[in-house]
Amino acid sequence: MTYAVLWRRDRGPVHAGRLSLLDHTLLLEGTSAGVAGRCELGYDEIENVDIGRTAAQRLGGRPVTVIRSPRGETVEVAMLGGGGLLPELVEQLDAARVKPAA
Amino acid sequence: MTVPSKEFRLRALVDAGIAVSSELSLDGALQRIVEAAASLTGSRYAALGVLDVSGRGLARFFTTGIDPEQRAAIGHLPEGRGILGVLIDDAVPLRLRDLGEDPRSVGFPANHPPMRSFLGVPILLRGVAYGNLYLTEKGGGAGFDEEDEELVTLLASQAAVAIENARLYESATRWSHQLESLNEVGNALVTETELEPLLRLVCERLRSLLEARIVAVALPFGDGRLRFAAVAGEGAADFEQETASLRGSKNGRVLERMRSERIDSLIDDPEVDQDIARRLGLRAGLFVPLVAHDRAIGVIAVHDKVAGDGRFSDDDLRLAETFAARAAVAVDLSQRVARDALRRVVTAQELERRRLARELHDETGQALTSMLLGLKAVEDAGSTEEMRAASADLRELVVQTLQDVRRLAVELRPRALDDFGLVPALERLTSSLAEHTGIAVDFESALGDERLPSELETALYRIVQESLTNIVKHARATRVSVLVARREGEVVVVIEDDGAGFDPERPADGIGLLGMRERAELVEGTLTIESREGGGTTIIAEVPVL
Repeated sequence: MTYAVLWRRDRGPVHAGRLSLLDHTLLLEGTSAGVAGRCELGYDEIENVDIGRTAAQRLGGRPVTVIRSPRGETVEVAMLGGGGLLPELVEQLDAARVKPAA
Repeated sequence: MTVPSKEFRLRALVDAGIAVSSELSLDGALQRIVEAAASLTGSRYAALGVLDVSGRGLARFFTTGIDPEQRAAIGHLPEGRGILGVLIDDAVPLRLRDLGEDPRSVGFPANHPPMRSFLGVPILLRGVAYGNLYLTEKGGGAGFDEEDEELVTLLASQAAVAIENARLYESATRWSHQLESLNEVGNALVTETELEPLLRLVCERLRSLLEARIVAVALPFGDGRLRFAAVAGEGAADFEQETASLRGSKNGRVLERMRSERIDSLIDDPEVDQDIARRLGLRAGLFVPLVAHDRAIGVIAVHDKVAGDGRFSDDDLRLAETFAARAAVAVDLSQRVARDALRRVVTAQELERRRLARELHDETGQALTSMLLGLKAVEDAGSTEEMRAASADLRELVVQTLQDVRRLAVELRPRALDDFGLVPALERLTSSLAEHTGIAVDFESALGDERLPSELETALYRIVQESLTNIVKHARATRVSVLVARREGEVVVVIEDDGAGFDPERPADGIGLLGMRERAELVEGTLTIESREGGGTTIIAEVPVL
């Protein structure tokens, strides 16, 4: 499953690109000002998934899914594809997170 | 005519054998046999009758001793009654001293020369009768003897071999043509994506093989009617205009019964729509249902064999059934493709509704709950400062919720598309993409203020929207251009990026090209994709504007 997204890691530069839900990991790819970026998180590395709606959290004016790892890293993802995708992603990440890694 | 010597007979028999085996055409060989028979037996007249396929009548008749003027004066050829009929019914040699004295004789037609002595020998091969050799008026006034019978029997067996060879050759040629046509239709089933050209090919090939006047494929449509989806042959244009009722036509009844029928006389069949049959001058027919998964989905109708009285044989019916099986595969496949497309549309609609419901419930609902709590905080504020702070929080929440609801509405269907048209809607879409993703987007339109039909504007907007989403997801592009051009009778939209590109033969999953192509096809348009890995992508949507 892939989504068109805006994303950033640890409040870094905002990338436009793709989120892929792979078998065991969440993969984010994209470019920011022409520079390619990539971020891969195992589902077992996700401690918490939340929705950020404050003005400071939003990306491109859109609410974000906030993904936190046990090491304190934060990844924020805004969905570009259409309405209703944000709750869908949160639900999928929640389901993947509690699933034991194969 | 004198009776030839034994030496002459032997020589003539050998010559006849050589001549028959070296003759290329069946007609030529049979004529040589008739002439040899007359010569060997010293007969004034000789004839060879070839039985028709039913074995009950004469299909061909070769003669010697009667000149063209006499033949013209006699009129029609023998039909196999009288003494000739005796030989057809009972395939054994028959010798008569005087034809006229035999009680089974029916006499001769006017202008027929008198004939007395008679020898008839069946043309047999492995017990199968192919025809008869007839000799009359043996020279010298004598009757035919046993030796004549043996000689003519030998010639008759040569004739049988020649006839069977010719029929085998004809049958092999016919099978070869049938196989070629079936192969052609089979290949078209794999390569042809449009149903009607494929059905037209089935009609054309079947018509050619059956030597029919017209072949049509009727498919059910609407409420209880049949339309002719493909027609080949004489009067095809008139046929294509016709529709037939399922209950009140032969095609409809055959479809209902799922059983083939051969009708020798349409006028005598109460199920045939006589009005149509009369108008199109139809006499005989084959009606074969197209059956797929035990369901009749159409009918092949074949009318009027060009040669003879227009009737078809059982072999013709079997051949039509073979073609009907191919046509049924094509119609079934086409219907399944259409159903799959509809299923995809319905599934996509349901997915969008589910997402919308979730957004309204989880996001908007939660925001409204937060607002209620914010109002409570304002009410419970102990001081003016606390109240101001709570009000400010509440205001931000309302602003964000309003923004989200507007965004949701735009994503579902931008109001600009309905209120102002395609160009303003695309301007907003492209500028929004540039603003949020940092990709440089050029938008150019030659449409001006022209409004297109609503379904065209929607289709083109969604194609551009899907293309831009794909660019963000897959292309890693830095520049995108969207161009709307107007040509004579059509609008062309070109979306081009300088990104990673892909092999159009193997597009990535989730790229939605099928959906984009279907959107274009729904408005009678086309979608062209030009791309190569590392070389960017160009998508061209061309839709006709009437």
